[in-house]
Amino acid sequence: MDTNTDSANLVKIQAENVNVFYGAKQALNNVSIAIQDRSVTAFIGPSGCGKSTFLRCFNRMNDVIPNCRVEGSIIMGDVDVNSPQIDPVLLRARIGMVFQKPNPFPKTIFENVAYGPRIHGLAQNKTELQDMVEDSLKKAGLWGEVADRLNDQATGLSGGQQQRLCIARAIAVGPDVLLMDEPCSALDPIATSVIEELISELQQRFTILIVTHSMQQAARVSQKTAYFHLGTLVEYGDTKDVFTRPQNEQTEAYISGKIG
Amino acid sequence: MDTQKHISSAFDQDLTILNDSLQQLGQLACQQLEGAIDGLATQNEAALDKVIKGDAALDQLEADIHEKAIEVIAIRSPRAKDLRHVLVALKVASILERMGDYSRNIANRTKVIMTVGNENIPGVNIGRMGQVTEQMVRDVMLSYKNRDAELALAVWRRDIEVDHMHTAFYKEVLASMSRNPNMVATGAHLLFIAKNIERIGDYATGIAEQVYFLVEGTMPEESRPKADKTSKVVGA
Repeated sequence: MDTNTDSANLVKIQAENVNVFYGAKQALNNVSIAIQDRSVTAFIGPSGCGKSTFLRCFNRMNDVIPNCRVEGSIIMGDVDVNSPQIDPVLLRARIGMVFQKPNPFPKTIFENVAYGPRIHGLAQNKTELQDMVEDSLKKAGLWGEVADRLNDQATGLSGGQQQRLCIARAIAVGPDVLLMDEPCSALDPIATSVIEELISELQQRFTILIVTHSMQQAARVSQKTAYFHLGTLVEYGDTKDVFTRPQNEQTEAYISGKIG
Repeated sequence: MDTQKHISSAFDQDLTILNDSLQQLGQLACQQLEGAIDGLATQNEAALDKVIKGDAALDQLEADIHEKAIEVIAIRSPRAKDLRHVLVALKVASILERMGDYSRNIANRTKVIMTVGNENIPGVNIGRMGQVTEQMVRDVMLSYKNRDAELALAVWRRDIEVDHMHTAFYKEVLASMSRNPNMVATGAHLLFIAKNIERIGDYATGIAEQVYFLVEGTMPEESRPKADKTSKVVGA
């Protein structure tokens, strides 16, 4: 199995022998993978295959799950995110996350985006904070739709707009990596297309890991695809190869609609 | 066909329809070629007319396969081997339909030769050439049916035999035409008939490449051997 990337492409994150247990049950088995910098990597596989569990390993979200134990290393730069010395709160500023269902705070649009920079003390003054909010909303492709109503409640936005707001909120604290856990599954096809287009733009600045149940979406937005089955990384390679000439029969069966 | 079934049984049915239709088109193309070659050998007008009329069935089947393939792509979004299955069906259907056109053309030209009434049609090679080409088409369609990349490659390599026979026949007909001016009209049609058979052989190799691609996911890496030298023949 190919767990390496092209030498010409910089590796952003190297996961080595990652095992995850929920109590006695092992959810991930010895997963090793090299994630390319400034690219989109899709994790696909049937429900319960471990793809979301693996995604949560990258920003220690499994820490908040009782009885969950993570082994192995996830090296980003010169640090192992699993190291006890790593502060998960600071880690999550570097590795932002967007969830399946848009989850804006019950605050204004401005406050949703300003919240992160404010608690991390990233802005020196109000003007700088305003600039950060504007910049994040622009990067998330939402500025044009909300510039004149920043003080409206975020919950009044449409589902697709809320999800882009959550992306703006994640990128406001200056992450390197964005984790997306089925970010479009609660959205209609038009809002999904907007998010997918946004992902392609964000890829210029961020390394993106996306879990998706939509194989078409994985094929459309990612450059690399990892197929998981029963907690094992079965195949990892260029998306165009995985979807046209998968090397593994299990991958072939899944992408062809033969495994549910 | 793969034994593992899709979760969607309708998807399996669609692929089965494409597979069966293509094999049916392959059988028709073989019958048409056989009829044209037999009609040439026996100068049997009824047999030749049957080939000429029979071509419409190939055209219709090709159109049906195209329509089904487009439907499968639009509705099922096939991937990997399934996608190759659909793309290969599209391409092979077009090739088989073209083979049918060549067979019909052989039948039409044979009927003209019959009206000219030359008794001494030169060469026995054209009959042999037709038989080898027929067998290539049968074998390549068998390789499709059985998803047999090795048999497909064997057909792919065998075309050189047809090329050699075509070159030899070409020279023979040219010699005959230069000896006997009455042979010019017949000879010209014979050259086209031989070229049609040689092209059908080429098309069989085209199908062989598609079968190989269907099974392996790549095109054959080696270069196909070729030996048709007729474009360099300067005279009898």
